[in-house]
Amino acid sequence: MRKTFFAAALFLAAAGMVSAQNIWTPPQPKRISLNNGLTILLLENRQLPVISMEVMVRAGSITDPAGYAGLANFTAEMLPKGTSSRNALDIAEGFDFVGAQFSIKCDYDATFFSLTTLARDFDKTAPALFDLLSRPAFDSMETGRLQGELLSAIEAKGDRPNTQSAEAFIQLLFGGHPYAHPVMGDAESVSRISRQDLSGHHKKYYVPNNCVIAVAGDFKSSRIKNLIEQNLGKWPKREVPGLDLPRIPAIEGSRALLIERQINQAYINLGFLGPKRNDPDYQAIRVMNYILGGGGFVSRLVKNIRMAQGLAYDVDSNYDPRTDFGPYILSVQTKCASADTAVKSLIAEMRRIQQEPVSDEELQEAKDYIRGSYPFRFETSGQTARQFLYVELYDLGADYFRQDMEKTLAVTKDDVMAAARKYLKPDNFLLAMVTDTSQTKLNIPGLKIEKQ
Amino acid sequence: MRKLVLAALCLALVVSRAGAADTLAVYQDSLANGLKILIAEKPGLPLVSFQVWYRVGSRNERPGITGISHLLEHMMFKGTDRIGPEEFSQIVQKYGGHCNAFTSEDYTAYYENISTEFLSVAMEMESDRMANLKLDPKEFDPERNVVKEERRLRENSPYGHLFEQLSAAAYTAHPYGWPVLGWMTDLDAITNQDLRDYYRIYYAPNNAVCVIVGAVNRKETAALVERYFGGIPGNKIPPPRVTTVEPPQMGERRVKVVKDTRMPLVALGYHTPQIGHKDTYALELLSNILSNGESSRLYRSLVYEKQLALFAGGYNDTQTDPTLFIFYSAPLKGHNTEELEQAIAQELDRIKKEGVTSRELQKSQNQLEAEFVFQQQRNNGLAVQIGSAQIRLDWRYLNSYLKNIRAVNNQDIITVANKYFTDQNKTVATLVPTGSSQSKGQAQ
Repeated sequence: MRKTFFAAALFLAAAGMVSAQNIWTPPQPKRISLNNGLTILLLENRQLPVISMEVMVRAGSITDPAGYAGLANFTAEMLPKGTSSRNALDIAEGFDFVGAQFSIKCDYDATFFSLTTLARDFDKTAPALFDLLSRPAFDSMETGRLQGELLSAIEAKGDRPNTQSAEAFIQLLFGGHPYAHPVMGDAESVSRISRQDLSGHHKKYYVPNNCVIAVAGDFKSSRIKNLIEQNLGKWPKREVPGLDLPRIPAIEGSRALLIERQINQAYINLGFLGPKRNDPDYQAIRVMNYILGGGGFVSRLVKNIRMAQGLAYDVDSNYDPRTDFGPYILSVQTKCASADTAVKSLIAEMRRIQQEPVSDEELQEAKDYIRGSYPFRFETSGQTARQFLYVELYDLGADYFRQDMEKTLAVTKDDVMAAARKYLKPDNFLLAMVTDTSQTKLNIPGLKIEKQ
Repeated sequence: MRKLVLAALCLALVVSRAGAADTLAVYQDSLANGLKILIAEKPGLPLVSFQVWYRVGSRNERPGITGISHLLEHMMFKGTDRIGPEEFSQIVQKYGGHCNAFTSEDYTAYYENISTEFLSVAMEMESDRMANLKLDPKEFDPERNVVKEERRLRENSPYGHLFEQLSAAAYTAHPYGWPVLGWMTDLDAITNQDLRDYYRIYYAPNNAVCVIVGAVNRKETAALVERYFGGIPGNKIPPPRVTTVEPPQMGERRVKVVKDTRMPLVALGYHTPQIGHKDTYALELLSNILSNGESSRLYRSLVYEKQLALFAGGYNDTQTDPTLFIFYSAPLKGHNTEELEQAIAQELDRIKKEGVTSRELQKSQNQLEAEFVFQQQRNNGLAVQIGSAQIRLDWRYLNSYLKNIRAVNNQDIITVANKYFTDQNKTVATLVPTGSSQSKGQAQ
């Protein structure tokens, strides 16, 4: 067998025994709160003359009201289209002129605004971002133009079968909860959104006490603090209404939704509710999922379904933990006629990891991977700032990264089995499949099948 | 034994007046077998980018084996006696790292971005495939098909096909005239023995550069390179030099590609100089001013104001040997490629006469500087800058790059525009959809 990997094997055996003291963890930012409730995180790093600022507003698509899917995203995208003192062109040209990188990402739980500049340009560039966060104009012409762009983007997303299957699954899983729709919304809801809806959404959620600003890079903290205070110190605090989220429907017995399409592949998403982001079992779940289907070619799903059975090229499992739970999904693409075998294999692998302990080698590989890949999340100032914001968003605690790594390295085979038993649901799942139904025979005991 | 040629500039990152890192501290060293080592210490994150750059690309090929550099890059993942096919990437991934490779006209480069702790895994595997690549005939045929598939995708893409024909017409003698992907019949004709010969000639330590960027100690790292690569013998006969110089173009050239496609396209190429030539800085700025973003001149004029084009842009890739400044554009319905050619010519004429505004110049200088510095945030980005500069010229090129960009003034822009954007130096390629009147050779 070729597995004995010469000198590196020795080297790595030693590396595997790294003690907890040698674990790398990122430096901690300085945390400041302004009187209006704005939280600021600052991390000085003088390696390169670059500064990145990430602003997080707790206004992700989870805040979309019923019937207004896409409102949070539309609101965020509108902000750089003009403020009381700057028009869209001024803002774009201001960023462009100094070669700054500016982007907006609306996610499920929060919206992020990112700005990276050369250090010397930061003080003259950042005020535009502060301005658009706190004083957007919602000009009606710009609103119409952006609405058109969003509608074409939704249309361009098209109806690729893998997207269709994933979206159907999310809808099935979350029912009337805002996690049930894509962040961008749909053509119908986006067409319905008016200028008043946008400014109303902004007024409700874009307040200093609902924002966190993280800045990392080449600066003196006192200077950046003053700059933010000058620009946003007078931004009035206001209470943010609590979210009245509909309950996520409980799964009562396994159900499948088959969506008919004349294609030769079945696009399968099978899953259930996963953990919340601040779940204390998070590290055990991460290790368990790596072994099950998150670890690419070393994962059991790939070894079984792709390599041993040759049923599929792509197969994996992943969970996306959020504020209010999140999906846990096993997905696979296979020939329509193999769908039954593929689904049975997914179920069998869930049962196996619930019933038999994983091997020492699998456990070690998962930990090596997590440890080795961890620092890549902090390569740039922007990435580092974003990581700090996730800690704030999910209230993970100031010493989170150290604890995360220590807890990960302490995960045992028993922990893996316990996490599998608690979170995987081989007898109570939902399934969405886009397929040629005439070629697809599902014969899973206890599975209720519905066709669309 | 490793010769200690530490001609290193042991300077810390010096922060210039402009605020950017103007001076990189790169430690250079070389082994007795000729392997060049360049190390940049970037403390902080426990990560490293380990890269091996071979001085071989399509520029080193000859008719009959075009595409062999790229084909060999694929085969480098097909195993040695110790590592099975495709196992290479899997081992790197297993430790949380990422690896890949790329081939251009001038070089073939391999990299592993990995936790510093696992650096020696990367070194061990790269040295293994530098010396012991298996080149198993059983692996070759399927991989040849993968590469041919890549080539077919290129032929099906209207741009890809047109740019290939543009280069083929613009270069009459120099190897930049054929595509990195190679011609299809050459891909079919290349034998496993050709690959073996090519590998033996070019994949030797004296034709390679190791670039290491990250949280490493230079002395320990250089010793580690010695340990893994020191035993590989250098080639006694150095690889053949590329001596062909493209002769000056003596008049406009035109090619037409008739193809079953919906949209016509036009591409224009002008010969421009090689890396290190003083005119390249003004040309780089000019390409940014003409085509970067919605405020660029070509977009504003052809797309926004005249509403002739769906898109319009241009770029100038500075390479080892003289290269092409390429413009491209597609007409909106109701317009044709002649109108686009005229509109591009008008924009170039304006620049030849008046140059650009000082705000445009300053903005594009800012943008190139920011882009250059942002790239250095990642180990991989800095290592690619160092590796490509070293292969094409010398890594020290990076230390004067921003100064040279900043020094360009409007007169330089006017001078290069007049010098290079001439009809005599121009090659035009048009893509003509089948069935259109132009495809039947009639004038419109």
